[in-house]
Amino acid sequence: MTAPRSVAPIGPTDRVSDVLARDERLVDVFVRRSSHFEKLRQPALRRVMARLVSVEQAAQMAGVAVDALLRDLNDALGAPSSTPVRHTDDAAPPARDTTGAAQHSQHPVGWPTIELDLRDDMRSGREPFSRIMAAVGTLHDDRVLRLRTIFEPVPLFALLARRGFLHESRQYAPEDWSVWFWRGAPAFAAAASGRTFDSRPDDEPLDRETWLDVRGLEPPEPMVRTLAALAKLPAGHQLVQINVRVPQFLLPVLAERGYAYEVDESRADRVLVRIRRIEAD
Amino acid sequence: MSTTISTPAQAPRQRAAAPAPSVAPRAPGATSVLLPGEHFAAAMLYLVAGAAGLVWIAPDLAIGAYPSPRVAGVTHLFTLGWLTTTIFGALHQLLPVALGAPLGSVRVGHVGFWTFATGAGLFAAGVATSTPALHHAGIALVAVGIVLAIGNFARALARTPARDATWWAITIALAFLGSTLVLGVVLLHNLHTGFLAEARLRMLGTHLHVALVGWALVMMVGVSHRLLPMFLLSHGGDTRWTARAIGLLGSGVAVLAAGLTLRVPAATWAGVALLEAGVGSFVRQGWSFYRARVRRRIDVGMRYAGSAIGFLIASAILGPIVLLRGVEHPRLATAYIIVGLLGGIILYVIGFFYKIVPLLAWTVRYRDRMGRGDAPTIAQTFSSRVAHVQLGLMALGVTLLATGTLAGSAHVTRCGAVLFLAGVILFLTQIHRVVAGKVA
Repeated sequence: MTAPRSVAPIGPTDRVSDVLARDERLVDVFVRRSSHFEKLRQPALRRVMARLVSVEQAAQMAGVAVDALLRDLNDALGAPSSTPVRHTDDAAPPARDTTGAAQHSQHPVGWPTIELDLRDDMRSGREPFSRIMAAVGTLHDDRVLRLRTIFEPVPLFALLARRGFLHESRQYAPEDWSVWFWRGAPAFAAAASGRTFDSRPDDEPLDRETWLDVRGLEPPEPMVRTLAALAKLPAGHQLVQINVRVPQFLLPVLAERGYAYEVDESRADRVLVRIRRIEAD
Repeated sequence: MSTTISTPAQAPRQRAAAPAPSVAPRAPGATSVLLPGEHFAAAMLYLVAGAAGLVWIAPDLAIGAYPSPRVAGVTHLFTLGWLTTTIFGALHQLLPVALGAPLGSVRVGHVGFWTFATGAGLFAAGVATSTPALHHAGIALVAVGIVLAIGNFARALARTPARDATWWAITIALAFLGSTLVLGVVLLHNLHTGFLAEARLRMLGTHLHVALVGWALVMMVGVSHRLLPMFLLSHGGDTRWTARAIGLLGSGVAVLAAGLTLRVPAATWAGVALLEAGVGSFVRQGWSFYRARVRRRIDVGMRYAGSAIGFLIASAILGPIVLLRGVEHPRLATAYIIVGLLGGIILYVIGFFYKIVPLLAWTVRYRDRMGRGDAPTIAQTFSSRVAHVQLGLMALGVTLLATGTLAGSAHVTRCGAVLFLAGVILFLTQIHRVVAGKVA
């Protein structure tokens, strides 16, 4: 792999997609540093991941030292090393920081949660950002957004922190991450003030509700995800599907599977379907 | 706008976890897929027959013999056999699901289907082979089928709670379907008596535009108003263009028909102007939906729709030229019909077929497995690559058919017909795969 002397070095803020666009073979350099980067060999995953993540963020996600990764990349490209960044010890990658602005933060338990499972989208190369931001747009105080992803969505942390969101991320399996986002100080203040859920307007979640936003999904995905979420719904809870239209195909399936539902079309911009299991005496 | 609640009838008891609703239960609207399914199956057979017929009539097309019996017979395989049967099938699903309007009678739907589907084949064969017994039997069955269908849909439309642009489009289109039938019977009677004399071609032009624009295109505009945003994941597009398109196309067909029938050139040109504005509004509406889509990647079904809109624009450009040059240029008129019918309308409907049929088949096949993690995706039920090849073959086929006709080349026209047929055969294999549940 050779390059002219004047080639510009790869920097920590360069997007991974831009790096790979310079030389496809640099993917091997990533993989040599960490098997975590094997995902970059899959075209669908690369489409999603490489465009969103900088080299520094990728290093953080993989738990490798960013300077070492940059040095390897620039060496392979024949470019001079870029400006050193914080971590310079190859052998000691930075500790994983999996929480948001408040180091001690853990997501509020028992708060109404909007679930957004992006794993299938990411695996098939569909861009998840618009769905995330649509869900964030509905995330008022006292609600939690839970994303299910196949890798830690590090670029989102800084982006949403600027909007006042805290986060917590957990990895359950190699391609199974859960990341929670919730509003910072105002939400805590509301909780501390003892504000109850009864004071919310009609279109906000009640206690023991899980909200599932299926806007931006093509049929039959809304139905599939709703039924999957219902299968995991704790006893006594109800699921609220946020949709752009009445899900006519879903309703008979709900009835067949023993769920009661309420359709709320009181607003023009969204339909809420409240679903709960019918419990016998 | 309402809040409704429903529980299964066999449920022991419903827990009142939410404020008690005050509105009557919402009945799950979807009918059995059998009714749309049988329509779609018959439509597929007619599409194959029509495409094979194109190869047969290619020399007739190359000399611009659009009024000839053979061309008329094959044209009806597309218009009655494929287009109308598909639209009927889709309406049986769309009316209950999208408009919340339960069908008047499912039994009438089945009877109407068998009557109409049988009649369409007999009629097309009778016209193509100039066999009076066949086309008399065919038109009788087609007429009964259409009347049953219009009556059944009208009952559903009358019960629709909200009358939006889609409702109006379906209603207007059904009225034009009835008019098409009347004009068709008049033309058929003329075959035996010749009473129309030199007015025959004008009547044929009226019949053609009432059918293709008033019935098919107005229906496409109305249905697209609901389905394009859903399939494109497009929210927030400017939907006002739909109502404009429906109004302009509907009034344009009426004015054009009056102008052609009464031989009033000013009215004819006014009709053309309204139709051009109507097509423009539909294209503007489509562009708005495509532009506002959330997902940037366009799937193959929506590529068909986009390509068809391109052919529709080409047809809208050819239309005024055909009127300006008159009947002494039959090849131009034939090319205009080829581009509009095969490119603008049939490709569009195939695009929606690719969205609706796999979804219905998937929903039936995997109903019990939905949400339980072991069902394939809809994308796995057919090959996107083959569908793209099919689109290429059909689009190239239409282009060659039109250019061959314009150039008067039977060879080029037949090449176009063969490509179109090859695309249709690929389509048949794809739909067979979807229905058989063969997963990639």
